[in-house]
Amino acid sequence: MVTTIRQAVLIALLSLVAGLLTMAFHPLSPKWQPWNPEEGALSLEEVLAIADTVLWIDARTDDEFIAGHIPGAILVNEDDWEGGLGRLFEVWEPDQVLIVYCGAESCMSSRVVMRRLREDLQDENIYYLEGGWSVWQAAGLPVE
Amino acid sequence: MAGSRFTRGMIIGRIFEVLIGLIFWVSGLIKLRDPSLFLADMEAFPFLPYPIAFATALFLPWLELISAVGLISGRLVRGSLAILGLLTAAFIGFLAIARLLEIEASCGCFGEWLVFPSLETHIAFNALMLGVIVVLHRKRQERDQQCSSR
Repeated sequence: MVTTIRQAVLIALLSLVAGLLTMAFHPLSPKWQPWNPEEGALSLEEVLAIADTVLWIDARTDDEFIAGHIPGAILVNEDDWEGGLGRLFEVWEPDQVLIVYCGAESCMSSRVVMRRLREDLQDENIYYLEGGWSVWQAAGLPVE
Repeated sequence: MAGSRFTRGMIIGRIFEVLIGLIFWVSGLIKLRDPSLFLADMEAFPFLPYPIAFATALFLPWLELISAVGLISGRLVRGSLAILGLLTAAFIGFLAIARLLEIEASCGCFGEWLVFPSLETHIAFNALMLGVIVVLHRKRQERDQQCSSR
């Protein structure tokens, strides 16, 4: 048992040092930026008010997207990030506002995708839909 | 094989140690490629306090990598197994909480390379891995004790 603990402590200490070096030198090191749930959140009413300029981003799984999605939505999820970005660049026009949605209020992938898009595209004009797909369906809006 | 230093059990154990090491090596390497993405994945779990998520994004990939090296090289096997076992157990608990709270999100474990079809299969995979790690650690401990008593 003593050997196990001694070895585990050594590994933990090495990891601590390496982690600190990562924070200092890794080009993709995370920045201290605590999550604010209000950040980038738009209600369905707010989105519908600017509907003409919206390009929808579906952050759900491929199967869920195929089963039904908001008309014109582009599938961009973490399962195939590069592929999703490729599809987005094919249709995205600079004056369009990107609104990300996922399954429901409990899913967080829309917020994760929104943040990642903001970082990758260097564009803060990207939001997520509160309530996601379930709110869209409950409102009886068209699906594709 | 009579008189051989290596029994069949030892060889099978060693194969499993290397396999477990390789799984965590890949897992750690994928996270280390983009720690900020790994942090973003963890932020999808609102029950995880931000400071813990931030520290985990920095240290967890290295814990996995160094433990994997310790396991594959055979230098720090028991310590590596203990750490990987604790990480796996904690992760199973983490996934179970996410399941109870009905949170749908990616854990960022294997990036885009391995996506589990459901949370249940993910938990089952980790439970299996934890079982293997516990058995390997016990066998190692027994073997080391036998060696030191000779």
